Amino acid sequence: MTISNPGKKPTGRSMRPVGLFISTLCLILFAFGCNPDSDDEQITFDRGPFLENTVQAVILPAYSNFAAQCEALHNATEECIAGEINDQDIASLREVLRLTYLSWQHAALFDFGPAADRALSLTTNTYPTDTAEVIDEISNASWTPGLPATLNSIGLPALDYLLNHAPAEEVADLMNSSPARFDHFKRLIVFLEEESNNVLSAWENGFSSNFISNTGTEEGSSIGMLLNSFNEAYEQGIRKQKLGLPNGIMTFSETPQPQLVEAPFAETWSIELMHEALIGCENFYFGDRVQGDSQQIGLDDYLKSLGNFEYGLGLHNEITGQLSTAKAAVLTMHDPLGQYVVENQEATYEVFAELQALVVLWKVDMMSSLGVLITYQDNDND
Amino acid sequence: MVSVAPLITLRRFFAALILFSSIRFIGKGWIDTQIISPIWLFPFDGFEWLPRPNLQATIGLFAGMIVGGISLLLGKVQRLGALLFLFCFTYIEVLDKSNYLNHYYFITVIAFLFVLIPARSQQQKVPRLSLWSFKLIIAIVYFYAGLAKLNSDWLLNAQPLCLWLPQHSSLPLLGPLFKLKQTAFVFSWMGAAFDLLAPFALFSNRWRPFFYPILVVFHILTWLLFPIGVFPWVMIACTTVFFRDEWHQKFWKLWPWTSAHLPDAEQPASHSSDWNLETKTVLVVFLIFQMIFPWRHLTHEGSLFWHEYGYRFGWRVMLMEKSGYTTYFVENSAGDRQVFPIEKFLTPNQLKMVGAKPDLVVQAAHLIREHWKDKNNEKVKVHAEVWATLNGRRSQLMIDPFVDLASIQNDWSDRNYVLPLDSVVRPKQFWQLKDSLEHAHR
Repeated sequence: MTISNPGKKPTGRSMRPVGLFISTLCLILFAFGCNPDSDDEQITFDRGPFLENTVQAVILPAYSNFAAQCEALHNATEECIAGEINDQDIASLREVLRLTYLSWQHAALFDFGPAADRALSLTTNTYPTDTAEVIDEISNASWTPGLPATLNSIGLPALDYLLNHAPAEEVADLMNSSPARFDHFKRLIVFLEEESNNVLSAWENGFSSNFISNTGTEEGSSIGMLLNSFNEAYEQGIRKQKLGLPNGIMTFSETPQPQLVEAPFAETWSIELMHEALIGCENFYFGDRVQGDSQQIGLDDYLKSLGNFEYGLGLHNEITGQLSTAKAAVLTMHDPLGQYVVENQEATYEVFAELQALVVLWKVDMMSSLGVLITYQDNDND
Repeated sequence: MVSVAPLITLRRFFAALILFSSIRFIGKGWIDTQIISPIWLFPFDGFEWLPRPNLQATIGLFAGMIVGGISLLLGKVQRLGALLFLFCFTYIEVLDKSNYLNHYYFITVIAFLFVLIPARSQQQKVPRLSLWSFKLIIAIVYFYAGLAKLNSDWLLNAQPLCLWLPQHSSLPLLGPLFKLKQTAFVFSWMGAAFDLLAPFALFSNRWRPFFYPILVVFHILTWLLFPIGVFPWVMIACTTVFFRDEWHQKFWKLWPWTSAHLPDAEQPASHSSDWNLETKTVLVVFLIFQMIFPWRHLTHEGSLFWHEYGYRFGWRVMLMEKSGYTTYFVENSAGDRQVFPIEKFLTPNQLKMVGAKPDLVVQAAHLIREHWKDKNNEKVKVHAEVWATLNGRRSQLMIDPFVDLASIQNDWSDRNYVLPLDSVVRPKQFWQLKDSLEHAHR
């Protein structure tokens, strides 16, 4: 066994490391050898271009569409003549509000940076709205929107209430007979418009470029904020709030809570909004423009580039399939959703399971495949 | 008897690093995020009784670490200083498992040795065992880290490096290489070989001069690629204890304006000291313990990376990309269930750890039961549905979802509540079967 001359003690001892080293080299060559499909294992994903595309093709369009819809809503109120509002005006206001609600579903996924600074999600879509408080604020001349105390009576849910709580003629009559009511309706819209513009301009003036250049993976890095916020928005904002709370699945008594659906007064919007939110997630995942163009760099490209493995292409295919399944499952329900969760609770549980499956795919499998060690502190033992 | 010189260097380097590390901890704001602001902490098993320090006490503990560090650096009342440091540091360390780091444990072990082993420059000669204790610990760290890499994930699938390295493809020079899967294989095998060879190469006078530069490059690379804190610098500094006496003499002569130089080794050993039998016994027992303790997982079946019984305190470094998603359910006496919003009670880091570490899943279940009892005056069972992924595997159920986790104790027994690895059930399959499974379970 001893290769060296036993007379030279140091050499004898040190031959062992050399032997080990040579056998290691052989093993490394062996490792190359058992890696047959090395041609297509070039992983081409850089965080820089990914962030840039996500900002240009997903986030900025989401905020600018939302801001444009808020402006359109404001313009629509300007076209109404106070005191002479008719049911046609109400119908067109309702249509613009529906579009605004839909555009919000895309912007809601990115609750960090300027949106978090201005608490945009809270001021825009805290629901259920406190209808008594909305009525009280009508006569409050010194009403200041955006204060924490007003969150339950502002934003899209308050507008849904004021515009949809009764037939169009009745809403028009109420607005005409109470000028303060129409004024308050406008105040709510102006605030919504201001906030949407504030966040959009913060993104356009400086935040975008900082965001794109911050390619690290520590806590507070762009990729960390983006993925954490997306996962949170999906898990809490979509799965739980839009369906899990109304259908009662998360509570002991499992009593449905029809008043907790999104846009309950419109009665015909809830499912469309849930579906639109899933389209928003899809756009983010594929890195595509809202209109759809699968050529751009998104999370899908990263998973595909990992190769034909369970954690690469296999995962991508499952996410794609599950997104379609979840969207289809949402559309099997019927509005008004508040009534549906009461009458068909079991069926809504199945839809919930389809939504929940995406939480696991995105939060666990995808995050792990991305290998983004979002670091909150040192970590050497994983 | 051997020269004290390597011990002096080790003591000074170690002290400088623990001082830096303590100040870095404060500077990063971790006193607040890891100790003060978390609602719940996850103490190590057996330390649940330890009072949780408030801000003043925490500052006191850090002050103790700094005073102890300075005493070690200057070599004044060294053993008492080491004891002070050890106490304060370990107190913070055992408060929360979710902050566990191998290098924190390494610091604890070395500090403990400095409590037993004096390293005064006046001594000149010290018992051979005192130097060997440190060398042996460092050899164990490398060798055991290497042995831990000898598993199929690491060697045959180059996991988790396959998932981690591509993130660095934008680095200059080496960046493009990190996109290649081959690079992950080369790094995995080289890493394992490096760890296994390190003890032999460090002990060998002939190979050490060639190996040490490799060691420095290796650790700096890990420092650049992974968020492992000061660990690389600790190892680069501490491995100098293997160097020849003359190197240490020369090194400290480079600082003539300080009093750092060591007394001439040629002088007669006027102050050489030996220790009493008790100290020697404690030391030997401690070293044997260090060799055996990391193997405690062998008494338990199943995948170590999955059930994690005996995973900590074993020099298992950077071996897993493991994360999970945990939904807790509380079940009242009527058998009704409700989701418990765990995310409102944990820091992001704790949440991450509770998704991946079975003993933390159990600890959180106990905290949930206590919280529910305090708040609602109602005794509940606590179940968890944990979907976890390990080294590129698809997510799978990690914990038996029908077991009342609040009735389980973290102890030395088998973790039967952990499901076997690779028992793959997809989430939707499970939810479809859940009711009938649960019925069968009852």
